[in-house]
Amino acid sequence: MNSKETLYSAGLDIGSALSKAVIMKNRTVLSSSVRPTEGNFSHAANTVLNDALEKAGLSHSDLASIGACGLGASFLAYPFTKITEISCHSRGVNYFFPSVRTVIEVGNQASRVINVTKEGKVADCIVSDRCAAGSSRILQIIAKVLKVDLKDMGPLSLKSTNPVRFTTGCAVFAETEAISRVAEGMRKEDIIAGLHQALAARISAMAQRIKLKEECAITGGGAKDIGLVRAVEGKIEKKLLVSDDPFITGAIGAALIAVEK
Amino acid sequence: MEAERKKKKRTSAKTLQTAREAGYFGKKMLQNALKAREEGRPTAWSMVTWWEGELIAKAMGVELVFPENWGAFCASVRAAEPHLDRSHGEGFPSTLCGYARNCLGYARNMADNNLEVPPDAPGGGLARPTFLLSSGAACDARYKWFQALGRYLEVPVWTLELPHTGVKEYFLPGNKEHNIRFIVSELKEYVAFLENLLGKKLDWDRLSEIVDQTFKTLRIAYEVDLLRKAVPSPMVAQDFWSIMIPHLYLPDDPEAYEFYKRVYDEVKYKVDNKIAAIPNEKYRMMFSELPPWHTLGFFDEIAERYGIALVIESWSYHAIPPIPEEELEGVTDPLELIARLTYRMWTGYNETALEYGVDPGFFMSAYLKWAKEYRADGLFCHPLMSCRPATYTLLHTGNVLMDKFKVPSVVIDGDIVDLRVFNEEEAFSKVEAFVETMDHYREVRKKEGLPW
Repeated sequence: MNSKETLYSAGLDIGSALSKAVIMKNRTVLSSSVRPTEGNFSHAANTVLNDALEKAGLSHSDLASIGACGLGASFLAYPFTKITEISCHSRGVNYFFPSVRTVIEVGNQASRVINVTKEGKVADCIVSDRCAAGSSRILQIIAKVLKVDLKDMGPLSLKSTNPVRFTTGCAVFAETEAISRVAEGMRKEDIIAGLHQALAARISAMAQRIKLKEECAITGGGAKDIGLVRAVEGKIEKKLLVSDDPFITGAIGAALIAVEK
Repeated sequence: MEAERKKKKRTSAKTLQTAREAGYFGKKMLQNALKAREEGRPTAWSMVTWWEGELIAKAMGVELVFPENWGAFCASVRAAEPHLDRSHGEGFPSTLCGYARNCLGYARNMADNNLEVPPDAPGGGLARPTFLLSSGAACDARYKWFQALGRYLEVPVWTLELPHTGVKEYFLPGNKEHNIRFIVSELKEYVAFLENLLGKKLDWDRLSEIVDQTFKTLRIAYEVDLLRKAVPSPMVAQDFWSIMIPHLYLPDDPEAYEFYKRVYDEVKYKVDNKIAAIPNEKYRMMFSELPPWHTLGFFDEIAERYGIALVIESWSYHAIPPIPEEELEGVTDPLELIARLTYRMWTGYNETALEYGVDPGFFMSAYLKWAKEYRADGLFCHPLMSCRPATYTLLHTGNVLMDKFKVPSVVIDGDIVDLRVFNEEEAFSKVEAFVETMDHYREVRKKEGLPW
């Protein structure tokens, strides 16, 4: 083992929508890569890892450890440490914001509210199980219905003056409802804002069960949507910290935990 | 290949030799009932009535089978789905009790087969009953379940009522004795029903023998529970869910009593020699309430991966702590003894419930008592999509455990029978994160001076 090998670690978060990888040297992020998974976990994982390695000027053999989380982690072909997303996001947020004790993660498969220790370990956790309406998947579904780019959803939501009230808690019915509202001539801004309110209400209900701590952060794909972030803040009546790149939080946590293990 | 084998393994590996042998009692019940039917002797389908109805039926020579037990068996061999689909086709909702749906689907199949056992019935099937024994204990769905069954099977249904006393009410002067008298009067009516249906008189001496044997079996089953407080744990829930069959369904059977003596000896030997059920025991968890029978191998997996031993579990299927001797002094009427036994099952933890201010006493307070006694690091909550009684107290129990003892809980949704609502990967993910939570609260308990 050369000196290089002992220093570098990789973290991967292979989600159902996006695959993310980071390369770290000790506790510093050297590079990262994010790309759509497109249903091929193995290919996406290899691509983001190779891309991140290339950006860092390293090769696979330079890595002392690889940690991975996410739905597609099991498809990795090389040796790695498999870690749950809950732990990875906790550790990842702790990396960005050491004072944060509650993490709200809005991912494509599920939303989670996690209370963390000062070391970034999981103290308590609530997960929205098997429900697209409780995850950021619903944002993608409605973006498609409204023919809006996902990255524009947040800014549009903030322009709403009369948010639509979604009457259902189910993604399938919410899609139907959004189509009906479009047909009725409702503004896209108001439909998106209504959706954000509905998702925020579900997240807030989970947060109530876990007892939010003073400092809170939001991460995962949902954290990229400023409309959703503001809606959640309104519901829980707290300011949410958002890192510069919430997509890679889980991957950073995976890299850090893999080193420890 | 090894990975594939593991992935396909769904049943649990029992750590006790006696637990591996306990399946015999389930088969024995099913076969005895089929034989009785063949020979023209009376048979019945019974709910778990916590012994009040079963013992009297047995004294009348009735061979009993238990659809709840059989539902768990069907789920464990993954043979429940066709029954669930049949039940769905009959219009029963998917939120109805999984045991009920399994049983109703089977009854529909029986009705289509001239009320005889269908040839492909799992485990040989439930024999055609002479009557159905229902109970108001624990669960609201059970009233309508057997009422509907009676219509499919064209047999009479008898329902036993059981008072569910609130915790404060339980301690009111005279309340307990009033309830005991009520249960005895219910049992007398039940005896009259059986005598009328079967055309013979109850043999009271035989009933006394059965009651006596039941008390002995439950006593030793309770003593096994006490042994389980040892660290490391000598047996785990995967064992209990097998050995509970004899004491829950056949406590009157001398063979069950002899079996339990062997269970006791085996567990005692492991305690004396500090032999752990889980070789790498690192975390001691309680389990509430009923397990996913279709995926019990999950618990072996979390034992292996994380060193999690489920040290105590499923309150409602354990033998209740014995009735104080002074309460039984001078009581010779077997009906009153039965009434006191069953009532004790539902009120035996009320002292604990009063201490911590929780209600209902059952379904909650056993876990509060056990957390300390069994040095629990966490509670594994398994809310059942189709079972309100086993679910509605779980979150509150978790909150009280955290508040009083800094013992955290993890919630893994599923169902006893319906495997379609259990997400195994997600469950592993939650448990892995929960290991960190248990570590955290060990530190918290230490700081707060709690003894474990």
